[in-house]
Amino acid sequence: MSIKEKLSKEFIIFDGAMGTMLQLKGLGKDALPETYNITRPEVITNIHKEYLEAGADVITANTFGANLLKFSKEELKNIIDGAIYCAEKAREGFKNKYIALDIGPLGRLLAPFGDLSFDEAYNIFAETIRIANDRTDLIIIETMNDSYETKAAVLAAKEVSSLPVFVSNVYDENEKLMTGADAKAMITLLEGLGADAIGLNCSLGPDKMLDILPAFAKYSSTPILIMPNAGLPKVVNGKTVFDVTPDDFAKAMEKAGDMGATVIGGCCGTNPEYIRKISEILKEKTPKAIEKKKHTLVSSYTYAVEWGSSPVLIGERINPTGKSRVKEAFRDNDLSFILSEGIYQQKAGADMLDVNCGLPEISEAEVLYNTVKALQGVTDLPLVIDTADAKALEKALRIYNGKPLINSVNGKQESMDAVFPLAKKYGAAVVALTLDEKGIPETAEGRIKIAERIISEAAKYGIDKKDIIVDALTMAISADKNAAKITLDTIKGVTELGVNTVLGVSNVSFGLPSRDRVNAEFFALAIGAGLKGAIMNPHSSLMMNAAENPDFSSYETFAEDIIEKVMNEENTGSAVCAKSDSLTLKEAIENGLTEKSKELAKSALVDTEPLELVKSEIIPALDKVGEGFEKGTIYLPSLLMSAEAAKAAFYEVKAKMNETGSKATNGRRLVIATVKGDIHDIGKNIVKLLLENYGYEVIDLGKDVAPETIVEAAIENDVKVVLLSALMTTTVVSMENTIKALKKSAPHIKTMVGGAVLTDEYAKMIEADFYAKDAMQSVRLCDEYFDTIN
Amino acid sequence: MIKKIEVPFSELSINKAEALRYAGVKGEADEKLLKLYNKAFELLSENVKPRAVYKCVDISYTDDAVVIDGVEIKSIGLKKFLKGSTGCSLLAATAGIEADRLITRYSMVEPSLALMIDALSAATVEALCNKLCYGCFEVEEQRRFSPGYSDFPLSYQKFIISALSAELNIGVTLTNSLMLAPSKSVTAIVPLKGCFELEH
Repeated sequence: MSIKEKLSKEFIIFDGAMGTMLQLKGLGKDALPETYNITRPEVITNIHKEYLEAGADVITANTFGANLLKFSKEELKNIIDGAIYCAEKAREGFKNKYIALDIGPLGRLLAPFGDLSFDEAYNIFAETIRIANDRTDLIIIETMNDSYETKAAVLAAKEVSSLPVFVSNVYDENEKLMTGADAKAMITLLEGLGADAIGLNCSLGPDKMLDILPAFAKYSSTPILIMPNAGLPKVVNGKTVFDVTPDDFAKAMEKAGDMGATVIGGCCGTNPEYIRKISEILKEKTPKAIEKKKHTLVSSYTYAVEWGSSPVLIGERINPTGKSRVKEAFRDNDLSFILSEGIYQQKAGADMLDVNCGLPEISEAEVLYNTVKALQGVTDLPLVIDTADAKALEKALRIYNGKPLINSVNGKQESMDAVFPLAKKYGAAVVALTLDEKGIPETAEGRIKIAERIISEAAKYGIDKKDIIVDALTMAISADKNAAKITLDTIKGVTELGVNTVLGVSNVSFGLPSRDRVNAEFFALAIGAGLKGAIMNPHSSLMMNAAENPDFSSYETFAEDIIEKVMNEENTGSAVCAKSDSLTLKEAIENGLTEKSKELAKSALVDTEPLELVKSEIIPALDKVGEGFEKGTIYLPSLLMSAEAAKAAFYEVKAKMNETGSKATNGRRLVIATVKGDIHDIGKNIVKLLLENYGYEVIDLGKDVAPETIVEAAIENDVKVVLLSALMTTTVVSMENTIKALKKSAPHIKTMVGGAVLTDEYAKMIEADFYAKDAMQSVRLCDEYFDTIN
Repeated sequence: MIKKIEVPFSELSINKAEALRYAGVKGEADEKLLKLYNKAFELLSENVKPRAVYKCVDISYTDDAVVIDGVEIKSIGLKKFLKGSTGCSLLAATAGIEADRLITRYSMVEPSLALMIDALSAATVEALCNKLCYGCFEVEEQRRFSPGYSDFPLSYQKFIISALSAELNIGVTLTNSLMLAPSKSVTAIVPLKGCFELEH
């Protein structure tokens, strides 16, 4: 019987701890435990044997830490070969016993908060699995305390091997992974990726783990795995012992079985005695069958969003269509603007964020990838990957940390052929547009038929209908008064199919005045008709209000009624008076009042030239605060508050100048970066903010940036100065390397350095042209330098 | 034996003056700055989970080195600091990845707040170490020595992290350039009167 067959019929008993057993035998303190596969194979084989004799069905090969971070490629091969040899040797003479390749965590934090990239992590896992070459019966990925690293490991296992993959995470007392994911989020992610069993091990004793198990029982359609520690360690007579006895442990595991777990074993502190007791109890019993669950779930790296009850609000703002500022940001690679849009939408109440980078003049695959990667560093909202480009889609799906929603597939065969394989592989839910080769049907029946076709095509790929969210398509009622009714009827019909629905709402008001109001009223009706989510503007209070107040009344004459209402109102329209205020823009900036500054700038720009406003109000305010900072009367946080207020004012200035087609920058361009190896960028961000306020065009390359990337960007953008930041002595070396590389390839470019460990002396030593002791000084130095060369 | 501990943010005595100083406030903080501080404080108290892991080990001495848990460390500064203690606690403490996430997030929309969160997170780790020194190890609050101090090489972060399995226990890891990740983390050696098992 294969392990997969057994999984659906019987309990599967795993072995207990390897490390604990090695310690008992006086080993493991002075060497990596995996080396015993070569130096003391008989010890490893005997431990496996003891577990098999105790009743374990599966033994875990001694490869927990076998990876390229700890061993050279050659050592790694010997260690994995040794581990498999030991396990096979132990299995001789037994029947129906299985060997698992063990994959443990790498002990490094993934980017953006650590320096190991997702791809590097993937490659390290892939190499271990490649060497093992399917010589075991299954792969177990375990003791993982980060969702992203878990995803890298599972992807590697799925792509390199064809074996069943069991996945187990470490939860803490707060019932979360170290990096924040709860059980529901992990179930969502791992089921999407197609794990064969999922669950939890290590860190907690059996009782606490039983508290987390109900979440698995409720949401998982995949067999559940549990491997607790033998309680908490304590020291008795100078020896570490665990406080749960084998009998109590086994009783708790019996309960776990009753609650729905089918794969059961032990972690730290357990030994063959624990496994014997579990085996004695569970061998007589049959596990509960796992039911297929119907929840529609998407997730981020901390939590899952469930579709079906109150409408899921998807922020629509990260999309260049019709938004000139977003367009400009994508074109100029100004990620910080895009990220701010994401954060503001979350603040406004969005549940998910749509990410669309479709612009003909940019490489969508690259920009979407960078945007998704950066967004998940600043917001934990689940993302909607919105693209029609299959390459861009795959690239983004791969590095997304969770289960995303794809926007979109449609009824065209070509679209389904492209999207479904990717949705299946990366475990995404999909928005399905009710249109096909013949266009958008003009009847609800036509659209419902397409929805049905999409659902049955998805089933061919093993995608359940719970992962299809149908977009009933909103059309402008100004063009066709019947459009709203067709959409709402479609929602009703699709809902009867047992499928969730979504709409991009704002199309409905195209061509009408008071669009926001039309949208909101339509939205309320759509929710009344069964709509489960919308792609919308969370900054609209009318829309947010509608989301909470569904309208269940008849919608037969919605279009006629609302058109009449808003047309009438427009004719009688009321004028809005500008509020007067005694505060000047200069004062607002000096006092760091962001909202006020934005407001005042906006009203001043009605009758003041943008450049005049910059010269007479914004720059004098910045100068005054800057001087105060230099004198020590104003402190850094206050300087920044003023800088933020100035930035808000500049935002309005820029918008005004865009209208007239002029440029808001001073034509002085800079490249800024935190050097390779350094993952701290708060200082760099502060410098950037101030420079931008003074009109500089700052190309921000981010943190942990390789010298060659900096050189390339500096040359490509034809900048005069490159600013480099480093926090620690260990990374000043890469600062020096970057300066050397720049001097070699582009000797005309000046370098300016700053950061916690730097001093004037240090800067000279590494041959930097300028040293700025703080953000304000970097502005002064840039001003001086550019003045001399202009 | 390795012990790990999670201390609620609310139970830490955070030194406000120190946190403000870290943020660059060199004199008295005005109302605007205090408001910013309170905002940062609230965000951290809602989000961070300060954690620490520690283990008591023996110390012996050779002519020019200190031997901690069987590992020889050549550092005159450390030797002087230990003043002949025969035991010490290896310690790793962190404000966790949540602090880094908040800093990154607010860097985008409100850098002044990001700066304050950054400073307050650093003060949080300090407060956590102080609490352990005072509460668990029964030594003076500041009595600890970290890799990177004086001639104690930064590379010994690795020794402390792996002796404590800090990656698994509290999620503290090292980057290739020997930086701690999450960034608001500390490793240290705390000299004890002897090596004994600590309870808290």
